[in-house]
Amino acid sequence: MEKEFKNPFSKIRAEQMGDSAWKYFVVPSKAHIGSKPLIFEGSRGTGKTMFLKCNSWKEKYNEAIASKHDFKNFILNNQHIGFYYLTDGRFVKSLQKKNVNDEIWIGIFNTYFNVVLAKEIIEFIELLINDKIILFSDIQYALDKVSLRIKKPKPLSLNEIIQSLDETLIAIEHFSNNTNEAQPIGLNSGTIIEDILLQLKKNPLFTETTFHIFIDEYEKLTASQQIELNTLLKQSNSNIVYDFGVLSKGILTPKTSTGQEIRRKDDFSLFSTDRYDYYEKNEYNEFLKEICKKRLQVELDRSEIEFDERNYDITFYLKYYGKQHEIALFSKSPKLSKIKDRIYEEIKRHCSLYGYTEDEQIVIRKELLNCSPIHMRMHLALLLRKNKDKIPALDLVEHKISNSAKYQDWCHNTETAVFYLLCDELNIEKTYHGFNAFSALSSGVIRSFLELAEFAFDFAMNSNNPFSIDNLREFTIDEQTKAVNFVSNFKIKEIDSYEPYGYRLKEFTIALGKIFNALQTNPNATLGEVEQNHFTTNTAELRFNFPNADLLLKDSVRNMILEEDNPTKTKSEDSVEFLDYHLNHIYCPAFKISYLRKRKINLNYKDLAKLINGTHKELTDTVKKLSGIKDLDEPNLFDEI
Amino acid sequence: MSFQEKYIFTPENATFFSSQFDILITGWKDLSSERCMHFQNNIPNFKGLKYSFDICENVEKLSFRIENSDGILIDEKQNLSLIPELYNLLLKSNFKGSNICIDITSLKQGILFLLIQIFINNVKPAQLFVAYTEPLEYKKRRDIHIGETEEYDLYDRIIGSSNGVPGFNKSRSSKKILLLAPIGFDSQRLQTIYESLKPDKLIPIVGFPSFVPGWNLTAIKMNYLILKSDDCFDFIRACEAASPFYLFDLLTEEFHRYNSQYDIYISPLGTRPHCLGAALFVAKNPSTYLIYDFPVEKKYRSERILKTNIYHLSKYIS
Repeated sequence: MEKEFKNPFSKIRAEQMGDSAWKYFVVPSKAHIGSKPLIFEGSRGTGKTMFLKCNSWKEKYNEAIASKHDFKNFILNNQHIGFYYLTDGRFVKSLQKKNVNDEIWIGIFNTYFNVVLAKEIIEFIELLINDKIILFSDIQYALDKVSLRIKKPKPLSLNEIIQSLDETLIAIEHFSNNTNEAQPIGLNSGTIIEDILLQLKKNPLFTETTFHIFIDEYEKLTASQQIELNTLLKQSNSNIVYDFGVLSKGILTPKTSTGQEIRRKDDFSLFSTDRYDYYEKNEYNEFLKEICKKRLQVELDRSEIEFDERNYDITFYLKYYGKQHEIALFSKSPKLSKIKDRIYEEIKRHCSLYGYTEDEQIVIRKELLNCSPIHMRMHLALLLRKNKDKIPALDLVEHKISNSAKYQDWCHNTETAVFYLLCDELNIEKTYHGFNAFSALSSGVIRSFLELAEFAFDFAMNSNNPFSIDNLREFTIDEQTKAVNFVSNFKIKEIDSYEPYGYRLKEFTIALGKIFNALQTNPNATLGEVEQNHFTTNTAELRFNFPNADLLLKDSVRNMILEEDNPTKTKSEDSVEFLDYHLNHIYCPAFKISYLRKRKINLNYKDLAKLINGTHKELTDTVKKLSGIKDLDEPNLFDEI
Repeated sequence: MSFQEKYIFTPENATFFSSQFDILITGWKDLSSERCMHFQNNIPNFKGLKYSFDICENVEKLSFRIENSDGILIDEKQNLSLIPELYNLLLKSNFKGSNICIDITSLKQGILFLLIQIFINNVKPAQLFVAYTEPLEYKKRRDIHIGETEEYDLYDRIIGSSNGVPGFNKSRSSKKILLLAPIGFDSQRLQTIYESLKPDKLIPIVGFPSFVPGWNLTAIKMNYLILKSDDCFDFIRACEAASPFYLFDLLTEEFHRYNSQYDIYISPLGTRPHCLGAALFVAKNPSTYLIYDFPVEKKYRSERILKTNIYHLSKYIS
């Protein structure tokens, strides 16, 4: 029996899980490995690797073994058997140029791809032979053919074919390092893979089997290499299916080597997590809960103690405490008197402007000041409204007393914005708690959610009331808030590592954060426009006038720094195209801004180009201009992190 | 501690050293940089040929210039494909059997790795020396701009590790990955490589003793976040910042310790002598991987000169 409680979320990436990824795997409801190729498209951290790895034979086999199934049973129970390939970006990129023409490189790439997949398939065959499910002679014809293709002697054993494949791979490495070396064999795409798998299919055990080749991190392939694999996807059939995992906007070309194109629905199904509202869907929240449940099960079951059902439910730990905690802090704040003073001043201005009587003034003061800090701060914002939006103090009082629909609207629409304003003005830390807040902050990126959960557990396990197997408790507001702030800050820092433009994207992200923070904490805000955390811009103009900035903008979407919302297209003659861009919610706590989707700002494409690709002076000047209020002499935002 | 053939270059031994080699290889950098020119300007007896090499940012194109010791231009070529043209140049010229000194102070790392590989394994000169002039101080940032977190102002930008190192391309195997990384002052570089490689184990290597006391702590401070997130403080190794020999020995030791379980990736992000040590090691151990991020260095990144070291590397020639 294991008494020590280990953080169930400490392994975040599929790569960290080794052979036990299957233990943590939950199938996304709309992603399906079937007879039609699948393209799983999403930004980093959305579960592509986990999905493809856990559908590959190795993980499924590990799972079967753990469930005491034998290999034969495993094959009979799995109609789809997949072989996983993680694109070796550095190496495939080296297979080009160097005074060698493209066609030769493509042939060499095809040989490389055939060889690495063949090695993976032969590992599978080795198990089949070891378990006496097939004989070497059953597969010998295909292996002879493979040897013929790579100009090696016919193999007498699996070891011999592995050796031949390794030698072929080494020859490719040598040639990529020095093109004076002997030129390796060039093949057509998928030939060796097909030779072996079609031979396997002749065995009655595999008649109904569809073999899959899972290609992960497809975006790392060059356009010419993608064309070769697109051809394989297009040619997929019930025998062999090619499925891709690809980063958003990572498909460089839909072309195939036969001059056709791969098309959605006709050639493949698309599972994309890149819909702006994906994370607002119940589908995402339920998916997260299932993922957490598996992880909690793995950890809790080690103890062999029987637990209550709620202990497997992440929502139990990530408890939502309501708004009362923050409201109590606001009420106790000594700085609240400054807000009251400002309301007095505004009431005076209104009295003089509208000529209110002494009695009316008393009522106004009583109604607008004797209330919760939330309403009080809202009243100040409403009193600040001028011209056509003005709300005379007495009208406001009447709305309040009658609790009119309008008053209720004001309360509803401004409440969150007022919380952020008060946190800023009263110098109170914004709190984050509850599963829904964590889910919304993750912006559809599973890895972000797991990181939030990991640090929530960490803070709880290292608190004065340590969370442990004997003390499975709800996390406090403080523990949850600390986790959110910690993760939010390191996610900003992490942008640096997003190749190749991370250093630029981080500056851009912080610049956007500063602008939104300045707008959301403007003490004179009238809260007509609240919680600005996204922008719209003319992408056609940006693309035309500032192609480099456009490239960086696309890269920020690809890395999920920004989320592209459904475009609002104007089919005018100028084909003006506007798109909305949302800052990934995970960054919002670091910038002390609201993560709710409320208002956008219009960002002129020229200003956007300066923010994303301008000089330091242009960047600083543009942030100042768009912020309008805050002086940028304040310390670098990062210093506060 | 093993023996290392490392000498401090002084006015007293300059005459001796400058007569030890007949080919000098340098970078094609700014001739007005005091540190880059220090060694070249102080070898009075050198009467051989000087080859200056440059490569483009994405490490694909090579330019070179050949001058005699009086500075008269003999040949110049631009925008050649680095591979195979560097091989062609070095194998066809008079390098084989000659005495060569590479001044790595101004030489871009992308070409340094490949040069070492070709000299050690292909060209095999009679003697191979390397000179390196240490700075007294690196330039710090004066103004902090939005989003900048680096304390030092060393690079214009970093091209990234998505490109392989020319001459060291190698396909990934299915083994676990151990990353051995001599670390430097730029916090972004290790983080980027870590993110791209996703190693199963990280062993950071700190330059200690450092060129200047305290720089070892600066390196840890600048890389603190990634060291913390990997929880690898217990694995940090120290290695003299100015010694390619000790780095070679350290890498050999770690290689033998972990080779059976891991593929060994080496990413030299620290001093230039450590880059040299890493290049020597990977050139001698082709089963290891070299991973690099190709930073574009600032034109003026250091201030004043501490000293010049000369390393005698002939023992590594295969």
